[in-house]
Amino acid sequence: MVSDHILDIGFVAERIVKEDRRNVSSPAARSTMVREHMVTAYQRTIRRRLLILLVMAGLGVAAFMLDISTGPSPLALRDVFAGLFDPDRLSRPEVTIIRDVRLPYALMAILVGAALSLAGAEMQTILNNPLASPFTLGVSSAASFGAALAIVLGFSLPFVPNDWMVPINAFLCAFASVLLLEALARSRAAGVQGVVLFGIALVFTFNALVALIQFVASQEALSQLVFWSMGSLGRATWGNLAVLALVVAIVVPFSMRAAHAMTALRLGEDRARSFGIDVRRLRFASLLRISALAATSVAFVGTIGFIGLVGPHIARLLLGEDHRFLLPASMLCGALIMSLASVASKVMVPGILLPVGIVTSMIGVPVFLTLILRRPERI
Amino acid sequence: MDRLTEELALTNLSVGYARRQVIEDLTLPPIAPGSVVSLIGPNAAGKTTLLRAIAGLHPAAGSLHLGEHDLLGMALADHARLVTYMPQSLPERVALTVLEAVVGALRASPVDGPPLSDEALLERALGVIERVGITALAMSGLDRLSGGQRQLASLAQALVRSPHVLLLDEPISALDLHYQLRVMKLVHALARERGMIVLMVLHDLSIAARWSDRIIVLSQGRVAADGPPAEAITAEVLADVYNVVGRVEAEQSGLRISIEDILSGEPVAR
Repeated sequence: MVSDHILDIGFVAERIVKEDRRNVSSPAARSTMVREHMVTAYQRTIRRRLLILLVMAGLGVAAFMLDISTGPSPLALRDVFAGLFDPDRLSRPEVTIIRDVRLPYALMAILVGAALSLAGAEMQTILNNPLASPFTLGVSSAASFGAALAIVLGFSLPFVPNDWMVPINAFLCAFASVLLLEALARSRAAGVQGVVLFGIALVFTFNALVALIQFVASQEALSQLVFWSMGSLGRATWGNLAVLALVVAIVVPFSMRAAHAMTALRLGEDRARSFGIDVRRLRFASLLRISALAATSVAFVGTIGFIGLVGPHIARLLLGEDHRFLLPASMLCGALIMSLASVASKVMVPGILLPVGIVTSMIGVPVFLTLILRRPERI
Repeated sequence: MDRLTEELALTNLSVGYARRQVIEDLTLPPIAPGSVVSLIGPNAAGKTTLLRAIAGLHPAAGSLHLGEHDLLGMALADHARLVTYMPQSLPERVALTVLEAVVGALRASPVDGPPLSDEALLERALGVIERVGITALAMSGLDRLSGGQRQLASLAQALVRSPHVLLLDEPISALDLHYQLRVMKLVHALARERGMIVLMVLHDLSIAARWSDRIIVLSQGRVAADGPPAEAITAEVLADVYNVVGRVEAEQSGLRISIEDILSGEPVAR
């Protein structure tokens, strides 16, 4: 079956020996050289990955600044800096625009992008499915159903402030949907294909239920609901931002602690368990995190598609699947794309602010199709 | 490192699925430390199921002990310090390098012995990769490797945890002659050096006979023969278990096994 791999390996070793200028002849010296080469290569890879993360973060900050500077009244980047760090230099209305209007909006883009992309990265790993993301498998739809229920029916729990009801309800529905997905992914009968189909079914089901709620909703609730179906950053407030930031801040350390386990899970469930990983617990904890991230995002900005799919895929292409790097890179990628989408939503039609969900879908659909067409055998 | 001295003892072990018992009431004479044991038998004899049960991946009833340790009543993480299982396949499309995958096996959960620093971890992973003979592939992505190369990477992952019991499910099925021999020599040497128990499923009877101290022939979930190669693999066993006509002759380096014909009819299905 594999007749050439001695040659193959020999070929790589040969190249390494040739590239190295030192003159070696004994097999032992050659073997030491190849080994040294691998250690250097490994360290170089790690350094390169850290550099990529740094560049991504830099680009993210740049996009964030650009996001603040674009809008109905364009501001120079210099003024954006001044507005953030040295407000005395600007006029009062300018400071208000920057600090009270544009800043929460731009921060929301960064946070939502990071949250959805992290959720997508974890979901792709634990469901072992490259098409998994909160949007494509119906988790976002479930969350918006939960949010719609809270708005229209005005659910409230004792001791829970009303501001929290929408996200909590969104979370409960999102969690129920991921539990269903996980149960299906675990039963071997379903396979990768079955999970995707089931996810699509969830999308349609919850969208229909949301439509039903819209149909019976009052005029006022309806206008609030429509905003969910579009996905818009327009309702970012400092209160919302604080809640989302808190959720992200709580979730990320847990995600990072599970990074090694998730890397091992990529090599197969039996293997991961044989390496001492409690896969069931890992999955359950990860699903909790995914639900929290997706639900909070959806509760504040509506369903924003494809960020959770595209972000992790770009990160994986750039950095591989060592989750210590993949997870932060996914977050940075998601934040960057979301920030750029926010800029695009302001400049695409001059004078009109498009809902950002429309922009992300326009970017996301081609990427989604490329993924399907490039590896048809996996879907 | 001190030499391992624990025996692996299976008594009245039953393993099965909801509707089908695969292994019923299996009892084996204890497996001695430092020995290489091959599990052979026809398809669907329960070999992989038995291996997975010993690995703690499949629930089992009865008793399974490694020395003083009760393997059935043990938490997964403790179990993983003692026993490592190498499944038949490694996923094809994983964007990790061989070295990352092997280091990942060490990082997944604590291994037996004192905690390792990052450098020690890398050192140990490269040491194992070198012994398996794929140093030149250490920085190659798993998704770029051939089936045989992936199997070697998979073996390196299992070896790096230096378990007390190493369970290998068809470890050489995709390998060429050089690496088949290399892997057999390596696990044999590791068993002898450390007192590790190696229990593997093999299909090649000649290789099993050449490199095993003991062979267990499994058929329909029961032990059809158990003992040193020359006692376990006989013409009668070949006829009973595999439904073939074969000749077995003792040689200096193992057994010469030639299969001459199949017996008429299908092997007895379960």
